Amino acid sequence: MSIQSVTHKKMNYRKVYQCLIVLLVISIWGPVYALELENRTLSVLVVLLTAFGIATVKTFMVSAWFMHLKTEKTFVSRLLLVCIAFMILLFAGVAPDILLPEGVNRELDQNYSYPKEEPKNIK
Amino acid sequence: MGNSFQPPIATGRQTAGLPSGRLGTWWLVASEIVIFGGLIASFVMYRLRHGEYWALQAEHTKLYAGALNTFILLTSSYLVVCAHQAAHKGEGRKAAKFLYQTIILGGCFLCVKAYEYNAEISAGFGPLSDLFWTFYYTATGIHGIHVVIGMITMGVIAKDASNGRQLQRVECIGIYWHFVDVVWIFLFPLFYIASGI
Amino acid sequence: MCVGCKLSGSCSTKGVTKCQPIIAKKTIPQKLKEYLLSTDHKVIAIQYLITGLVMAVLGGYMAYVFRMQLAFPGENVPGFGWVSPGNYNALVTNHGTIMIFWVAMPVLVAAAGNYLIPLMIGCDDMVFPRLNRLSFQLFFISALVLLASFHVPGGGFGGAWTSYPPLSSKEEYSLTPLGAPIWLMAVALEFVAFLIGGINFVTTMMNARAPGMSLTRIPLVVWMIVIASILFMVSVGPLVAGSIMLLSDQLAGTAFYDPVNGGDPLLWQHLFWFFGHPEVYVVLLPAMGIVAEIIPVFSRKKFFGYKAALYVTIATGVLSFFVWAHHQFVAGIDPRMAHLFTATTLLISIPIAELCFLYIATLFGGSIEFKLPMLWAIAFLVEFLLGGVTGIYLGASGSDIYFHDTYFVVAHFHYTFFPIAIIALFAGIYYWFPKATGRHLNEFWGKVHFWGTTITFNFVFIPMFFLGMGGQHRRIFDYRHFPELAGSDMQELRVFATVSAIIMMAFQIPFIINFFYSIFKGKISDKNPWRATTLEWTTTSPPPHGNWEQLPNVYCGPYEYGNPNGQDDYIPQNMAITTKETQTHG
Repeated sequence: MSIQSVTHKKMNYRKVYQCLIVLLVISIWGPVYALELENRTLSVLVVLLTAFGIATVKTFMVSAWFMHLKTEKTFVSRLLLVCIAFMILLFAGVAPDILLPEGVNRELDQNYSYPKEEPKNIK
Repeated sequence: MGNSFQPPIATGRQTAGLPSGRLGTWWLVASEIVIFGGLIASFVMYRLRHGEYWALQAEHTKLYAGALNTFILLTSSYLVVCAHQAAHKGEGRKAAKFLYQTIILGGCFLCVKAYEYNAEISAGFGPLSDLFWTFYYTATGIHGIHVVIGMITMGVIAKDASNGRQLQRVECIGIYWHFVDVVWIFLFPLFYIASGI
Repeated sequence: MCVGCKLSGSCSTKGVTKCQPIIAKKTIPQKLKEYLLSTDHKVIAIQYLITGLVMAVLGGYMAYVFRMQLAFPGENVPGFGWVSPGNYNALVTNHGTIMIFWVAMPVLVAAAGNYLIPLMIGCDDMVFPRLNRLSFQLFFISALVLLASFHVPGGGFGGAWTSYPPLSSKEEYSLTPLGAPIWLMAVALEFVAFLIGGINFVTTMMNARAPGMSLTRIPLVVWMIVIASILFMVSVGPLVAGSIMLLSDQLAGTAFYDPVNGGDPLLWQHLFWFFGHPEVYVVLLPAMGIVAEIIPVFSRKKFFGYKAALYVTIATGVLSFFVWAHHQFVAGIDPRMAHLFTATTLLISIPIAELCFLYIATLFGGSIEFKLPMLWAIAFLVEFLLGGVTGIYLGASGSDIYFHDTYFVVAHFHYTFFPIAIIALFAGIYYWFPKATGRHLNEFWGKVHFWGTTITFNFVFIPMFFLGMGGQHRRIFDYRHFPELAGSDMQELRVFATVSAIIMMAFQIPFIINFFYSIFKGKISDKNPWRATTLEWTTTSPPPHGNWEQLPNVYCGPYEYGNPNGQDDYIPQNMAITTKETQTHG
């Protein structure tokens, strides 16, 4: 590898790092701004985009440039994507049971008042 | 054990086209993805189930401490990649210097976390106060253990590198450290962002 | 005079090609230290094998005790005493846990993988030998931790090998406040040991192959062990996370699986079975690999459909991640998911059946020699097929509603696990014993062992299919409390199964004697007693440290049998033959 391409890579690292810091700032500003928004759907959307969207972008940047996945054998990226895919599969298979603890067809007893979740540790 | 260990011929072979140390590190990262993935998937499911109730809890995590920690880890990632650059050029002492700086930043990360834990427990948000907090301490705790293991391994590799030995290991610990950073990049929005979702 | 001359009178025997100066004899403590701290993959493999076999004796003893309790309830069991309900639960739990995690996995994945992979791909050791040693040490410690769990106040954990909360998480239900967390820690430590070992196996197979060994020239057993290791690595992660959560519930009283405080016990079930189902393929694949090695050798015929076997194995591996909730059909899962999982479960029987067909196609038209390894391999095929088809009734959610938690399930999984962990294990031992020790096992006693084991095995578990169909539920320590199950017709079947089990265990004694006797006094074996093609048969028996004086190159595929262009009727992988045969078929 020539000296030029080596120093060229080092310049890239600094740029990637600066990009990451800018993204970090946006990802903090986003949810803080979203708290002040009236519209709930818009608020959720802003949070999802800034917090999680940016987290995904940052992950790709760290993986591709810092971990050199861009120049690594493709097998490695595929392996990591398969692992993430299986985690999505786990979520898809388990979520229906965890997110619907009352079941799907159960008829709620009209005479019983189901307790509302109250935080015990916050005044 | 009188004689030092001699690696077998197998360790030097590269039939798959990349050094075995790096290949083994990638497999380690893959297995860690599914460990943290399982924990995070469980947390996300519970978070969606408990919705507003957990959002109230999440308001009490310290956003700016978390942001500072994210900044610390991103900077440490940058330093590790500089270490790799130096090791690639054969400059062992420079690589070791960058690695030692990364270890110091790792220590800073742990200090900020310790401050956070202290403040949160004093305010009544201990691990047994609510399931949200149990997850918070478990996830950040396991992540913290990985940071400590990374720091110790990095110290050993830096010592070797400053003597010009085993420079190829700098890249491997770099990959591990970047992975620890990526996990934090996801833990940060999951636990620190509270706005009613 | 060198060591070679001194031993045999001539340096040209036993593959000694250069003079080795006589070195000072090592003292016993030195030898012991060298053995215990060895990084040689062959030594580590034998260490895994012996540990696994010892744990198998323990697991078998546990089965003996609880079978005696079931056949003669309330009576003192000779060699144990009176079995209390707590004892019974602990015996059943630990029998399952030991057989899966401390017998099947170490002997099939760790021992076979460690011994065979470097030898069959033509390198001198694993890529990370010290990590290999660490995996064994962690594994051994996990076995000690598990044994410790039996001796703590409260006794061993009795919540079934599946360890569902809240039975396993709350001490007022499990009644084993120390046994439960220690059991869980043993299992978690074993997972870590196999994760590390798996990384070693996969990296070695990918990177350390001999020159000329392309991916389609790798023997099938190596592929199977590596794919099994990958399956293990990807599926165990969520369970490691889940185990940390369960341990936290047990020790700290957290609420991960506690519905009163926001958790959900069903989460543990999902995390467990997301691993638990791929786990059965983790143990199945190496067993099928061992059988895949043996069948071509003793039919003198090339393996039918190498690439088909490979693709089918990969398909099974991927599909195995999509079937897990068939263990939870009656647990209260979303019924819509039950439809999905029935479909995928029935689908996964197809690739495995395909693999069995490939074995049968290999046998067809072959010149079959009924040597001992072949007998065990064919027994595997027959018994495993029986086990597999009975799984269909359990994979279909409709019939599973009746069969779940009955002895039908027990019979099904023993009809699959026993061929995997016992029959295929013996096939492998009888096949590779000459290579590992340089001596043959006795054929006559081997045949006694074989017929004694396989016939009695059927008599133990076929009654359980009928008991299950008759409604006998699992994990009950005394059926006299259930009038509909206490009738003499069912009790007779239980006694029959128990007596057959004891006879089956007695037939292992000839094997144990044969095994240890033959190590010292068996008939000497040469390099390649079975006339096989794979690389491990090209070195001495036993192979030296470093496996070969000079590492081999590979020129053809692993199953060139019935090919007169080489030597005898086969072409070893390291022989360079330039005919059209070896150039077109990889």
